[in-house]
Amino acid sequence: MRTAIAWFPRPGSESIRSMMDGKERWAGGLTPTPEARTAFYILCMLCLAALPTLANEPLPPGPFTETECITCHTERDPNLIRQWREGSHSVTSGVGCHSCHGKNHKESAIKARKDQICTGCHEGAVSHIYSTSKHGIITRLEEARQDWRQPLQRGNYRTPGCSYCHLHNGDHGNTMAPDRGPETRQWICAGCHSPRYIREQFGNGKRQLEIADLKLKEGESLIASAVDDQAGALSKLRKSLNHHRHNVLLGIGHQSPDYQWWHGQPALDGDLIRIRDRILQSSRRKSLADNLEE
Amino acid sequence: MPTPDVCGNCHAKQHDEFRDEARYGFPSHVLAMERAVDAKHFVDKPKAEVQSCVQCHSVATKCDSCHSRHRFDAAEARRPEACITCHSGPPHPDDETYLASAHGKLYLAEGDSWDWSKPLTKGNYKAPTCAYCHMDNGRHQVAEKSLWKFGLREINPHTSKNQVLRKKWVKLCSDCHEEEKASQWLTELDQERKQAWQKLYAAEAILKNLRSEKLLQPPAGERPPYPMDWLDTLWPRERIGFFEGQASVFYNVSAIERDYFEMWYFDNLGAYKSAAHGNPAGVEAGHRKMTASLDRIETQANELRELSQAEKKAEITTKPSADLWMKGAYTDYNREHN
Repeated sequence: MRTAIAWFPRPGSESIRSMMDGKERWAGGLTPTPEARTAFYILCMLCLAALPTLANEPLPPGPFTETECITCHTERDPNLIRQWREGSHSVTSGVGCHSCHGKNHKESAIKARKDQICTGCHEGAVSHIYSTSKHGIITRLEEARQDWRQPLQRGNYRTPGCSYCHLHNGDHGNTMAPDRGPETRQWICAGCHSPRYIREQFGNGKRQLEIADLKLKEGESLIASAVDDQAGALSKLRKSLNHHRHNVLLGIGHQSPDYQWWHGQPALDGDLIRIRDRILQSSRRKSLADNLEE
Repeated sequence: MPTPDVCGNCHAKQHDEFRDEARYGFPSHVLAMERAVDAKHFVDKPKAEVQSCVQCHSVATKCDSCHSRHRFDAAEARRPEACITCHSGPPHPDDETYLASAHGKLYLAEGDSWDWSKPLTKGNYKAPTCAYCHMDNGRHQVAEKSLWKFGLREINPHTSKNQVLRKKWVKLCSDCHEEEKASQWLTELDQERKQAWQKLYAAEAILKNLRSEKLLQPPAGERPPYPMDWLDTLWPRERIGFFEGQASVFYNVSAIERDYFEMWYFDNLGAYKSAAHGNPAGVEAGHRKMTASLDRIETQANELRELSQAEKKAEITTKPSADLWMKGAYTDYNREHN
């Protein structure tokens, strides 16, 4: 490599034109013959032509082991590997490169960008919440005509799939994780929506979750006031409260009206009613029992 | 975002049809917003809580609920996915019930390869989708053929008006099926509804009896009120069934009333949607749930009666402390802030 550089003209001191004329001395102290110059430039052209091929050095097809993936990609993009290690899909979670990308290089990114790879594990309510949202249904309908080779960036997708928001820009941590702060989320939404709309949605969501939290608090304090657990009934209802509060959260995050409402707020109302009913009935039975003892 | 009036400048036929839907009454798309904002619970719950309602009910005020931005495409709106963001969940599981039917399975298996640019007319689709039946020929009066009114209340399917609607359904089904077969399916749906209403009325009767015996605890006057309902304040009364407005009464009621609400609004409507969309397993599940709910309501009613008799015998009256139902983080907030 060093020899090759020595053969190139030194910038400033000698111009290419004078070298072409053969009047100036080439770097390295040699004056090449016209034949040598021609040969040199043919070599140059060949190298330039080969450059794109060299840049896209054909990838070995695989299959690779997890260690092989990590070793090679740590060299190329240590940040990406760090994001993955520190995120919720780290080694301890049991999710590795293979889980989303498969074992081969071919179409490994395309595969991982599609919703199906996520919903394979994230099934049940959370997948239903997203798949019935406007984002979810349009992503499904667009799947065939969408160019999935494009990176997960602004302007490349009509609607966001799971990965567009959660691994935005190929970030292998969770870009929607609470600790990323609202700015990250707002920036991702702003790829498609107006700042006013985003502000409105975030405000609505925040207030709605506050209401759900009030219900949770009300339920918790009712349960705390009960004299006993009623053969586990109240523990069950506490679980139910938390479950429905979580539905509200996921419904807001994924813009699913159904989970914000039917699986969320009125379901929480139902839990509160049943907690109260349990407490009321047990206090009636207790006074009856006390009365009999007297 | 363009308003329907802007869209209507060019798509006058669709726009006029959409507006015209109002004459078929509730439930319908064009009246959906009125339905939402008039509901007692919409008025009387904190605004932050009920804003989620608007996401679907705003269908009355915009075209892009179905013709989603920025394609505003008829082809996209013809697919079931256009409907299921709103038509899913316990009171209207149209997505689950349709997709589990033979029609829906065919759509799931082959729908991606169909030519969705074709109009919703006979011969263009191998299986019907939501829009094929409910908006046949692209007519935007979705409620036009509404016969069973969402399964919310019992209807007489054989009034002269409904006979006309039945003929329309049979004609539609006979795009693909024999007319006789189609009539038979409608009769099966009638029967399913009859059985459902037998169970629902049995539960309603139990509740109404408890109300007359003053056994619903706490009574209406001792529950957190709907602050805006002055009639409720003057004349507190437990609302039982569709005509008394129970659709709105699911949060400040006793547990047994809530059980009935869920039986009626979730189990019953699930069974109805399954029957109408051709999903026998869903009908069976819905009726099984309704039977279980009815049993539970019966057991609870008996328990309430026994408890009250025992109290009478012992000559004690256990009044729940007023705080139990009237106080709490959310209850207080709702009273003060909605």
